[in-house]
Amino acid sequence: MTTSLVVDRATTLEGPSLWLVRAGWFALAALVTAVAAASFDAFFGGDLGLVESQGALAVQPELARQLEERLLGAGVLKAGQIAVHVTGFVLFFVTGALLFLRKSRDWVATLSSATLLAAGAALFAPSSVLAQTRPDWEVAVHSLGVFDAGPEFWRSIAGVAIVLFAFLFPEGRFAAKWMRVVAVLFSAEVVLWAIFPGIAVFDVAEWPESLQVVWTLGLALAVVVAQVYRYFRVSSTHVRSQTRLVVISLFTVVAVFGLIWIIDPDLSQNFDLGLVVVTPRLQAIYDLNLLSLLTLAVVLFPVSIVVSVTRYRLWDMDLILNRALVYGTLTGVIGLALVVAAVIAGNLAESTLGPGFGVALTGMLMVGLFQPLRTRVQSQVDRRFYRQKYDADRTVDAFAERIRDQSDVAELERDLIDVVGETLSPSAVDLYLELVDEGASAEHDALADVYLDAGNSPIPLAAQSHAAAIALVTKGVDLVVPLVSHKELVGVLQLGPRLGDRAYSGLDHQLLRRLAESAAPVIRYAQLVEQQAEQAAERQRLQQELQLAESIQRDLLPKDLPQLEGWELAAHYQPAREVSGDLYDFIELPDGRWAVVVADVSGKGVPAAMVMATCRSMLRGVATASGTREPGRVLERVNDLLVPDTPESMFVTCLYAVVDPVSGVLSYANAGHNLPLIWSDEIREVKATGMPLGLMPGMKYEEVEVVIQPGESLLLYSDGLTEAHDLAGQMFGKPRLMTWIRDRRVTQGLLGDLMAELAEFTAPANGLEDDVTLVALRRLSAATGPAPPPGRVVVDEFTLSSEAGADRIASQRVGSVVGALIDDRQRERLETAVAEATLNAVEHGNKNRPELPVHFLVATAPGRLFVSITDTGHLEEVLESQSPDLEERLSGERSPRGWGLLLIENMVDEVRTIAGETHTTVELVVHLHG
Amino acid sequence: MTEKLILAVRRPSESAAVIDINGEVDATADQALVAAYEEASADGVVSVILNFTGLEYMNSSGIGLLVTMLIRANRNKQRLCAYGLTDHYREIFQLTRIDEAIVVYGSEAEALSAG
Repeated sequence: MTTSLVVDRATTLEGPSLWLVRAGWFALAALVTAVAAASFDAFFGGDLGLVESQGALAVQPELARQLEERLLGAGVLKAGQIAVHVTGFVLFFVTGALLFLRKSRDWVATLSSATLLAAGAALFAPSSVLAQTRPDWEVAVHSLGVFDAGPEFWRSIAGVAIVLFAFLFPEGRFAAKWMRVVAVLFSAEVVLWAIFPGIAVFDVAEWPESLQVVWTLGLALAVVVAQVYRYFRVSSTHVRSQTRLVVISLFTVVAVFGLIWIIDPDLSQNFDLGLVVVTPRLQAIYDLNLLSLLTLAVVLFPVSIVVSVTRYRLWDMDLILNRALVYGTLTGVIGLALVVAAVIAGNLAESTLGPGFGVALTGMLMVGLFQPLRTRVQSQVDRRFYRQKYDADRTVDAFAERIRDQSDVAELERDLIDVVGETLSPSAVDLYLELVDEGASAEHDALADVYLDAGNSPIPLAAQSHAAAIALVTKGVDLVVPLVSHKELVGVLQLGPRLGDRAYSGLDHQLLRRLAESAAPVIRYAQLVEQQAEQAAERQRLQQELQLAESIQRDLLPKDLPQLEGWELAAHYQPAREVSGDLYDFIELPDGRWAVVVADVSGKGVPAAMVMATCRSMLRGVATASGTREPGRVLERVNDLLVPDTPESMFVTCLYAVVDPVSGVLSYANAGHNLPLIWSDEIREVKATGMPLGLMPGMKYEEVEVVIQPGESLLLYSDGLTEAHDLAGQMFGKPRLMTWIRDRRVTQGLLGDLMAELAEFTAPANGLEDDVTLVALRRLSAATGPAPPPGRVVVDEFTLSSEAGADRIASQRVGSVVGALIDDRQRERLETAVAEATLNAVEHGNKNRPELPVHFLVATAPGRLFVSITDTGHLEEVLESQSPDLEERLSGERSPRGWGLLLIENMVDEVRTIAGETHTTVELVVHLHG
Repeated sequence: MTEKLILAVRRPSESAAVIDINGEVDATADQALVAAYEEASADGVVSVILNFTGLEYMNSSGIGLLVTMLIRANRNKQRLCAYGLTDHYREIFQLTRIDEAIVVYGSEAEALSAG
């Protein structure tokens, strides 16, 4: 970011035109000097008994007489007259001369200077005295102009200069078309009159009275309106602040003159209304005040120009001279006003209180009021116009104080640029900040080492031989000030040439260095604060996006596990980061089977997650499409679809299985994924081969079919499980997984326990290296029903299919596991009870359907042995054991059934039947002795 | 299945036949038992004696098959008896009251002499 102060310098002259303008100015200055010298000579040398001097500022003979007679002595009046004339003329002349000396290259400045010179002579040089006493000077005097209210003034040099000045100040252009028209008409009249002096039409003085009034007032109005119009309609804020005082003073001068000319200040003649008794003294006071007012208004004019110029640095006047001029003028004006006021008051006192009082009061007022008044006005001027100028210490201190707690970089930047602009008046100021405008300027980058060496000292570029420095100079940069904090470049302040002719002084350099020293660390700190806040916001935004991605991804995973009758399903998904490349899914197929998918995208994080989302959609789409239900075909299709959509370095491993919940038939195909584990008592891995998805098209996938027996479980998992490392760098590994599963007899809560085991293995602090996804299916043997009541210890748990011989197998197995708990006779009896209960379960509960399971749970509690046999039947009526009515059986009237329950009841101590909606459990209880 | 149950038929006398039962008697024994009975009950046999000495396992289905065999024997005016049962299966015979129709003897000699 850069901020600049730029000033329009389009009114500068060069070459012959410059010399022509300068010559013109010198000619005018010579004329003014000559007329003024001759006038003051005539003024001082003439008879000053009745002081009659210049135009509107002339003291009327009657007034002079009255003043002499009643108020003042002849000496005081004469001294006052001389003071006004000399001070006024010198003020205008010196101001104009200084302007020319400093800024003669600028033709608007030269015009302003000429206007001041001519107007000063016309107003204050007592040239009318000269014209009256020495007729050979008459032409020169009237050419220069006598500032009297009347049409002739406008065709004098002073009049023309004022008109032009009002139209052109300060930009040097006409602000509107009408000004051009007025200027052309006016010039034409003046030129025509000058060339043809004898023709009445061109001579304003020969015009009828009314036309003369229009001409005089019209031009005066045009002069004021031109400046006011420019002020409100054309000027920028900057220019407006320069010209405000000039507009006000022009308006005041013209208004006062207009007023005086219109009302003709002779009270005794024009305003004798019979109501006011107009005494000569009253007339004198009135005339005197009017004269004072007029003088003040006129003096405002050069003061306004000087103030405009110095305050806004349009032209860089010498400060001390400016001050002297302003203070001098002020002192003069205040003194004059005071003299007049004091004299009037004194005279009034003398006439009412008696002689002697007047002189005393006048003296007291002069002594008592002059110095305080002057000091007060001067301090006001100081405060208003010169406060910040070159007051380096205070400027730097105030700046340092201001920025101490500022942490807004933009605010600091503006403040620094403002301070530099205000105190040094460069034509342009730019600030490059390292962190913000990185690479904004190749030149500054190239000069970085030079800057660091310089510290905070300003570097005049003209003295640098570096190519980048020369390039900057051609861009109008005069001086650069590196802002360095902690040996780090914070930014560069670059300054154009000073407005004005002087180069940057040693004082300027010192000021700049001190500003840079106080600004650099604060800007640095503010930048760091800002940068950190930005980074924190960015991190937070990324975190929010990741959280959103995570929730989107979680939505892609099954929300609920499907309910498959006779199966227990479980899934666990744990991403290593917010988002993961793992995937699992359950897809219901139109034929009632279910597809179970576990996939793992290579890599982690967002890229993996995106491929995962694609892969999931394709799997779902292909799986449910007609004709591609078999796992091998599905993976083939998905692979072909995925290849063009996957980055070369990425691939997807996938295990795709289709399970028939009724038959337990599981057909599956594998795309480079971890192989499924199947277990009941023993655990085994079932194989199938195939390349990962997304690598190359046209791959084939082996399709394998296994039957999940009742009581058997299946685990699909991603390699985040087996490839997790412990602190020693050892892998969790498949053997450990298989052993852990085999040794864990109970299947409930398997996945949770497995994750806990993994967490323990990897050490809690480590977290997960990779995403872990687990999907487990267990074909129920008949649900174990509710878990064994508390206090029972599971001795054995197993499941058999409903096939012939199950009763024998069950009885043998139960017999073998309870052998240590009961005697042989009890064991035999229990075996028979188990066999009979199993027969009932297979034949009645499961209707001899081999695929339906019978589940056995052997448990102990203190003094009791429990065997639960659960089938999948829904018991409509509790079977009652039948009396062994052999005759009926022998006659064939009753089937031999029913003996089972009879036997069971007689073989064990207690029998309970627990009937559920989908399961029936018979619980056998043996009382243990001893 | 045949391995689980091996049946052999002997003719210790003119009027008696012995079926030696070795293995498991359950629902799957149906055919084998029918065949053995047919063989045992040929020309003039009045006593069919079941030798349970080699019995490893018998469930209620197996008992049911014995009842079926008993019905046939009754039709053929033959006597069906048994020996060689363990205490456990004797108890089961008692519980099912099958021992009321199939007399259980301590030995083959006892069974033959009773016939």
